[in-house]
Amino acid sequence: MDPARALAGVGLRGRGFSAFLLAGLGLAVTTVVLIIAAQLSYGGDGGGPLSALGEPDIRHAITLSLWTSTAAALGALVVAIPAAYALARWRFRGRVFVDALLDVPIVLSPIVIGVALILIFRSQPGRWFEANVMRIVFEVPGIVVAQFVLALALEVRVLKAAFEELSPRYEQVARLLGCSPWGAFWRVTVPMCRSSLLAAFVLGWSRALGDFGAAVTVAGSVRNKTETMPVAIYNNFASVRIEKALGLAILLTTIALVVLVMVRVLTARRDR
Amino acid sequence: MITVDGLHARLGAFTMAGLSLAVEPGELLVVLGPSGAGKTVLLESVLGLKATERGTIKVGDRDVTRLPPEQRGIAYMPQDVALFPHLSVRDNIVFGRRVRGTLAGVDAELAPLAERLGIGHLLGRRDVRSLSGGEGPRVALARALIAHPTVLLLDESFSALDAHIRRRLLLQLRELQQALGLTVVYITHSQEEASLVADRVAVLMAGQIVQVDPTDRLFRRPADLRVARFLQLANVWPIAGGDGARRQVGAVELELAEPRPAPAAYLGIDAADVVLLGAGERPAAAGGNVFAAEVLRVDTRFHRATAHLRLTDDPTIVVEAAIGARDRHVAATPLSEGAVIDLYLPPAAVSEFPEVTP
Repeated sequence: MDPARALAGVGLRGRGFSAFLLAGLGLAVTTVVLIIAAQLSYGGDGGGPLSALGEPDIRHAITLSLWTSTAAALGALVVAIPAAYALARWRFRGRVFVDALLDVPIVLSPIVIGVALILIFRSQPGRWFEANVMRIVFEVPGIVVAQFVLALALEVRVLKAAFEELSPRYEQVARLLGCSPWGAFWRVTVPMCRSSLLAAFVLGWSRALGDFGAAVTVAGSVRNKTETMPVAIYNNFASVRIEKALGLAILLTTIALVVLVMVRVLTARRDR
Repeated sequence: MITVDGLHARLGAFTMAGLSLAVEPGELLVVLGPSGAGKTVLLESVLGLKATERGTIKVGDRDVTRLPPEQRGIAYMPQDVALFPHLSVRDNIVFGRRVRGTLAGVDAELAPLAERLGIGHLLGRRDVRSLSGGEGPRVALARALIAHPTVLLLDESFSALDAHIRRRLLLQLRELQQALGLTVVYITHSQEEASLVADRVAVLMAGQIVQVDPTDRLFRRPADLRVARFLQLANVWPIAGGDGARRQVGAVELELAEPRPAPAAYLGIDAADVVLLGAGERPAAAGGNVFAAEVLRVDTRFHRATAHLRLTDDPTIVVEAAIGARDRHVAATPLSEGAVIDLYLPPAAVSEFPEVTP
């Protein structure tokens, strides 16, 4: 057992100090509970927020959001796995810089990413790509691209930490037992990091699902076309269609809660 | 079975310049060296985990210098054993066979091997993390051996374990190695582990193999001062001069077993080779190498005791001598502080060595 886990439950103690901790914990929990409760407290007329979820434009937004974020998070995973592994295992000049660079999308406001993507696809090669391969700007693929950028940075971060924590000894032993580098990676590295892979996917996916700024900048907010859940919440709220907005908000909150609990359970059950 | 010839490799600031080593088929060779001597570089080069700059590595007759690890025919057991936590005990053991697609017939081999290692009852275990400190290494040993390696290479594999478990595992490894005629290389910094199992010990110092000998010979004939210091040879004195078989150390003269052309830099004798003489025991035959000495103190570590004695003829020379059962119970040598006794340094046990092997 690792020392940190063996010492779980041991910490600094003292009456005043414990009160300080309790106050922090209480305030943190209260904030989140209020955020959730506020959405449920709306007592307006009409069928209520949840019944608004059945309306066609809302259903479209839900479906669109679910598949674009899933596609973006999966696509990001394909890139993040080798990138994170290289960052974790290779020692090269400028590694710290590359590492920091990949963190930029995490810190950056999503709207900046959106603007940058527009500029990319309005450049010469970007225009060629749009004309010959796929239209991106103000189209659904634009949403996936924007979400991909956001998810990628988070997934690289989570996976790099996981690969760094995995002792290379396992891979070395696998090599000497007959594995090629590919074999060792798929038979040992990936299965040993599977809960981190899941966590990376889920985090990337929720980042993609919750994004507003990047997707709306690249793909616009055309109802029944490029309107994702967060964009629909904004649009409906701005047009005082409170119930539609709230219905989506409650749905997003529920998804977040379910996903977070699921990740906790899955990663706690079996990990090294 | 493994022949390393003129190995050049680099790791960080460490440089290995031209290491050579030959492991004989069927022997258990211990590579013994202090930390920073280049054990990891040697290990990784032989395993193929690290590119060599120059030199060749052969396993049997095969030049494996440029081959990837999986084609070298070497099984590896690292320090932390590294059982795969996502696989059951059985799947860990047969991992190599599964990867190579040679699972057929593995059960017929597994049963007797597991029996021999005393892990037959563990084959049904799903979680390798539930194995005890002694069980894990045995499962790892089975995993290595069932892959039929030409050579088994262990890197401090038992060092982290409790002393009694380590001892048992080492002896079990030794027994298995002799029974199956395995070629084993065991890398360690511990001379205790080395002396327990080795056919021969290769002493690695500053990126060079400075001596390859059976353990007892290492203590009797260290190649140079570095080896003597690393083995903690108790008595090492600088030679002031001499010729033939006589050597001047401080104000006293010592005799070697046979004459040698020119004096080297140091004389040494292991504490276990110093004979403490009882009253009136001074052997008539022994002309030289018998000295009167005063007992300074006696150190006791558990059941082992050593006496520190100052020579009467030259008080700057302090001799460390192991106290044996004979000294305590038969000769009744007086070993209280301040007592003056005779001690005998058998010429055959006195070694002569330079500061650094040329």
